[in-house]
Amino acid sequence: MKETKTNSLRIKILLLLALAIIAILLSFFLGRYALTPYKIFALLYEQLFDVPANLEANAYIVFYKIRGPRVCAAFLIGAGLSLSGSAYQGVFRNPMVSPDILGATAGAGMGAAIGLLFSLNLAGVQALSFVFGIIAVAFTCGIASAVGKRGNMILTLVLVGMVISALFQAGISLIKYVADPYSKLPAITFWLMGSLSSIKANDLLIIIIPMAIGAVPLFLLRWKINLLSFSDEEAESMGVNTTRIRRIIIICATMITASVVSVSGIIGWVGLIIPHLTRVIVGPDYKILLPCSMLVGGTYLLLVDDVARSLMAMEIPLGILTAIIGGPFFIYLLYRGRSEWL
Amino acid sequence: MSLNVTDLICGYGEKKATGSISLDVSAGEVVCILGPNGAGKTTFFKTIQGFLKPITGQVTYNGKKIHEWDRKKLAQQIAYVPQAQSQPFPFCVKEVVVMGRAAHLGKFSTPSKHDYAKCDLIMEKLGILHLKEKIYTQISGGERQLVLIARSLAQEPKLLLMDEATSNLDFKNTVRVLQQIINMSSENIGVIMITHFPEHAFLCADKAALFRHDKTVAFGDINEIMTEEILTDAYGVTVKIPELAGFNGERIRTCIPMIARKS
Repeated sequence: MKETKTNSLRIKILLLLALAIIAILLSFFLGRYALTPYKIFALLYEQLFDVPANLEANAYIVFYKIRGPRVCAAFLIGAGLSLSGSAYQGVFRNPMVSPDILGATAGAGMGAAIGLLFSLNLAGVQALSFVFGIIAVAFTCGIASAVGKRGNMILTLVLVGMVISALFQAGISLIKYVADPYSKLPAITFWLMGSLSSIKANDLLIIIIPMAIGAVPLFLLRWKINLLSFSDEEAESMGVNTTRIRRIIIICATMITASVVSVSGIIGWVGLIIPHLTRVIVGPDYKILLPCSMLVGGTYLLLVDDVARSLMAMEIPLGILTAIIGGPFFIYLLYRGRSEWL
Repeated sequence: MSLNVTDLICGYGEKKATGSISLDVSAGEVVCILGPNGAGKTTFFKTIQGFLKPITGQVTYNGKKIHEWDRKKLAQQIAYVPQAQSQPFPFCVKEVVVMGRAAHLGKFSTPSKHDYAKCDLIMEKLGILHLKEKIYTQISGGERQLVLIARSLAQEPKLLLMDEATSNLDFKNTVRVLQQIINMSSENIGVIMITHFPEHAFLCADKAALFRHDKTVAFGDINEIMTEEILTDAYGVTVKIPELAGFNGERIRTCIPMIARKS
């Protein structure tokens, strides 16, 4: 009985891994320039074993400069949002929580809007966005710990997070209101809808570095997140320093969210529904849930991005698609959900 | 193991929730905490675990003040069985029980096969091994309570604090838990339990602390504290304490409230 259970879990994880690899390969094929499977393997072979692939220049450009970065970015962003979403859900003891709960997304959005308003270059916009995302969460945590009582920290954080998000949203609206309606307003609006169309190879570094820094502590502490799902006093009586562990997780997850959003714009729902979906597949144990939700999230966003860039002649903003898919899915979760969540 | 409470007044901030309490518990002793709702029993529990600062007086465990203990070191000594509450994620029972092992694991480690094996043994002892693969949120309230007891035993504590651990249980499971308490005390684990049932004190406790409405606390031997007079006064309900003989001729006492019935 026990053996078959662990085995079936192992099979599920392998299937998720296989699905991710298939999605990555599929995403390389898709697009206006046809990268055939042969070309992809030739390029990979060249990369790995130094055997010249002898392909035309366009194949190299598409593979290394356009589709490669975009596929990697989509996967990393999906994985990052899901990772921070899972972590946030554990900390807040609620599967209906998403990475924007403390204001990271609204803050990052406002930072980007300011950057675009002042016509900063792309790196400047990203940096400002990242910093504002962090600032928003710092505000939330600071205010919450100033007003909050020990027993109600979670509720206080969520409520203050709502307020901070609303304030930064107002800031975004104000910037949009004063922005030049012909040049800057469209840029801001488009950024806020989330897209990967302008991704470049060096953007990947902007995602990978903060994500790695944030992911390592999350991975090391991931089993302990299980204990946080009981009340703080229970967790403490089992020897967990809840204040410290919660602080570490919030800092790491926020850093990941802000770095991802600063590159991609606002892509909603992924960090909410993917951890949830993964929990349905592999169970709630964070030891397995955390890595698996990264796999599922990466695969999901990659596939959605494939649709975004190839469904119509014009690109569909990614944030719109994730909302169209995520909204109904959320309703479905509410429909079959248990009363404890609400 | 020794827990000493001297002249302790518990409460939130300045607001006193109890009168002055002095009691001590040593290895293998079972102490029952009795009293009406709102008499500060749970506040007392929070204070002796170091979650609330004492207003006056002090709590020491093995001679060291409780809030000077490192959380993890303390978790290896004292385990807490709360009342089963709702849980947001559908963990399976073995995952819940193994959480108790956190007290003995390194900062970044996850439980090993050895830890799971230990938990299996504990679940078997409590008669809940068949629940192992079940989803914690889907089992009955009584079963959940037993799982939480298993989790606390996975901490391998020297002292167990139980907050109304039997109040959700049916008759059979109540008896099972009381039997477990006696077994633990014979393994030299100290137990402090809050209960609303005076008869439980007679069944398994050595000492009792009676929290009264006027905030005074009486502590002493079962025989001193659990008299008809004192209990009647504390609960505001007339009680009788009859005595009967068990199967082996031992004296068993219980507590029965006097209720007016139609004649």
